[in-house]
Amino acid sequence: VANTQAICTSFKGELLIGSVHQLGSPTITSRTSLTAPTVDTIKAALYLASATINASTTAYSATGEVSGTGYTAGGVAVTNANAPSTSGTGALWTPSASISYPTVTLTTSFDCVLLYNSSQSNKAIAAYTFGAQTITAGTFSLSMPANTTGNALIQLT
Amino acid sequence: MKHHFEDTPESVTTIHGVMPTSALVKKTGIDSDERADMHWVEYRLKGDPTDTIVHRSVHGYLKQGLSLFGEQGQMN
Repeated sequence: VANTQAICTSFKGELLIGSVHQLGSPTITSRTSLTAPTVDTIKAALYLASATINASTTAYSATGEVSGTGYTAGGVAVTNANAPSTSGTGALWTPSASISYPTVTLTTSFDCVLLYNSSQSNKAIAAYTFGAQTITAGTFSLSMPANTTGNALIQLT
Repeated sequence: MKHHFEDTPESVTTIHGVMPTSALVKKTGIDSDERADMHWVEYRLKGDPTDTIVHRSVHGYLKQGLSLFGEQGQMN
């Protein structure tokens, strides 16, 4: 088993359904209110190298998630201030800040972060993999790529 | 690119609590592949024959966004 980097297939379908995910700054009204803009809470959970997170993942699950001192199941909230934008013929979105897990001890190797929508039944968005790591009484953090064409974390082209 | 942990703080949190880095041996490295550059730092106690890591932090730089391609079908 292994984690595989991918945009989750269920997320693609939910984009066509519409009004499921609202990423970025709250600029439009959504399914929960006809008058007040809302924004979803996006979270990032870490998964062991032995887990199986991939395009078929439909929602956050604690199965295969890391555990250890200082880590809360479900992970951390992602700073979600970048409104999705368009560039040329594409559209893109990237979290507006690094993802950080401060003062944790994670002794079993992990190599995957799953972004999911905790405001919408924990529906999965995308998984990103990296070289396996452990943390000892330290901080694990991830810097985001530039929110530009060819770099943004999620791109529709 | 500058190593994320190039600068050494005066103290770090370890498995033994907060310790001055002057009492520790620092080691840094980068695990790099096409997906990410993972900058790591490890601290060990000076003179510790067991070579136990008392602190390890990692900062990753994701390199690749993911794309989904929209394709227009056709009406026959």
